[in-house]
Amino acid sequence: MQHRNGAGGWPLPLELTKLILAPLNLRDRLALASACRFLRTACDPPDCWRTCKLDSLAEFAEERTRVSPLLRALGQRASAISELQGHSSMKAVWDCWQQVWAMLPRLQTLIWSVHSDPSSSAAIAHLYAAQADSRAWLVHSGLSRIDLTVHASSRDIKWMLEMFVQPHADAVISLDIKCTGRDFPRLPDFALENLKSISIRAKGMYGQLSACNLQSLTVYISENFFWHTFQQCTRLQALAVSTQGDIKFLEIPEQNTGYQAAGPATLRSVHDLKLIGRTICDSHALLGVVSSDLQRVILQVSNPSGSSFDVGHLLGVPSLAYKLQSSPGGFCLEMTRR
Amino acid sequence: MAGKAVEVKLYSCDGEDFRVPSTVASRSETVKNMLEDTGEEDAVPLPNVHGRTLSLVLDFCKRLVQYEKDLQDITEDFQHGQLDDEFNAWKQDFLDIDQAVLYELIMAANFLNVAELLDLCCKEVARLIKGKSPEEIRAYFHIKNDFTPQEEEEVRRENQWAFE
Repeated sequence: MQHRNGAGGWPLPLELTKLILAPLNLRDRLALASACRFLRTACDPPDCWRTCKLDSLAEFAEERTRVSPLLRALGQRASAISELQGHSSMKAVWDCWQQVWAMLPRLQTLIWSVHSDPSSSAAIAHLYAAQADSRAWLVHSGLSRIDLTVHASSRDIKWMLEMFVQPHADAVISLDIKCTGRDFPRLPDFALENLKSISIRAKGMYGQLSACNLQSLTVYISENFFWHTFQQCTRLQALAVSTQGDIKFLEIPEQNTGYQAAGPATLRSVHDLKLIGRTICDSHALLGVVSSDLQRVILQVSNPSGSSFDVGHLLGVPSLAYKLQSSPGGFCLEMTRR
Repeated sequence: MAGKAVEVKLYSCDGEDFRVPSTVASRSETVKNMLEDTGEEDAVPLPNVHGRTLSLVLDFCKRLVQYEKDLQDITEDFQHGQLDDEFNAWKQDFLDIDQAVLYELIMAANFLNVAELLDLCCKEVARLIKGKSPEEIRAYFHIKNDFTPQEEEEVRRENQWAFE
């Protein structure tokens, strides 16, 4: 038996059709709305447009001239949008957001992913040079939540952080930074008080992150990891570091001479700890302060002979069950709460 | 009794009866509420659901219960991903059904209030829509174009961007 609930023969009733709209991006919604009268009605109530997905590059126009048809297509619906999701090149951000923002007076949540577009870096540089103007049009006063992914060169990461993230610093909830260049990106040097989660993939990084409410930190780097970079993050619950270099809790790299290393005292709230590196230095300091609520620990070291890591520090904790695997090059210790 | 799997009896609208563990049947909020009201001894009539559809709904609920049990039992991190992969592969096979059955499944999942199944099936219909033009959507879903020529022109103008 086939259900034919809508005029035109669409098989589902209105309330279920609305559920189907949720995963569809703007183009697919408009195509669906153009199929028959029933679907046109189903696709158009304002509550269907609270979340709008622009999830292909073609949708978020690469050129200013392509934005107008998109905005016309959004038309009256745009005023209902409170959450915008999608991805685009960096140039599209610079070129088009000014017009898009103006169409979205109720926009609160932005879930966006940007990536570098090397061919247009000169155009971005030009916009960056006119910094004051550019920054003004990038700001949207209604934004209260931003989940931002930036996969770009260190220079483009710097611009994105300065020109977009900093003006919306209080709204930024999660950041995913991947540096596509061979140099190190600089971490934001302004406070991100509501940042809950950050993920960083790069050769290395420099700067100090000021995110007092950060709960989750994930780092994939190939150079040494220095804890001092994150020592201001005092409410971390999950820490995962994976590096081909050393993990150092008390040292600071030479170029950051202005900083004082506070040691790993700020790890007191960590429940989930995963450290993978060539060596883990200063483990005595690390293990002396980790949370008493520690639920899981994974420590993997490829060169224990160069490490001051002492398994004995952890094996004495009676509430943690452990499994130790040795390999010719190192060992992996996994512990979970009993 | 705690720890013992109690079987409950469900009746479809075409008279088929199904005996399943209450843990499986209770993945339907609707059935769960009925069992709480009437007790697990009484058979539960489901007048809006055909036997062949109910059979699919219960297959899904059984697999979901198994997946959740397996998740609780795992001891290694990597097993989590493995279980997800297995369940996802099972769901793909499960959705290898006729369009008409898929719609019946959506209606049943909605009536029985099995949120995971409703979500899965709605996403499947959305997947079938993705990338299609209005004409292709009409052809695929057997929809009649009931716009007047004037309305069609209006729709085309409104949504021009999607037609490019």
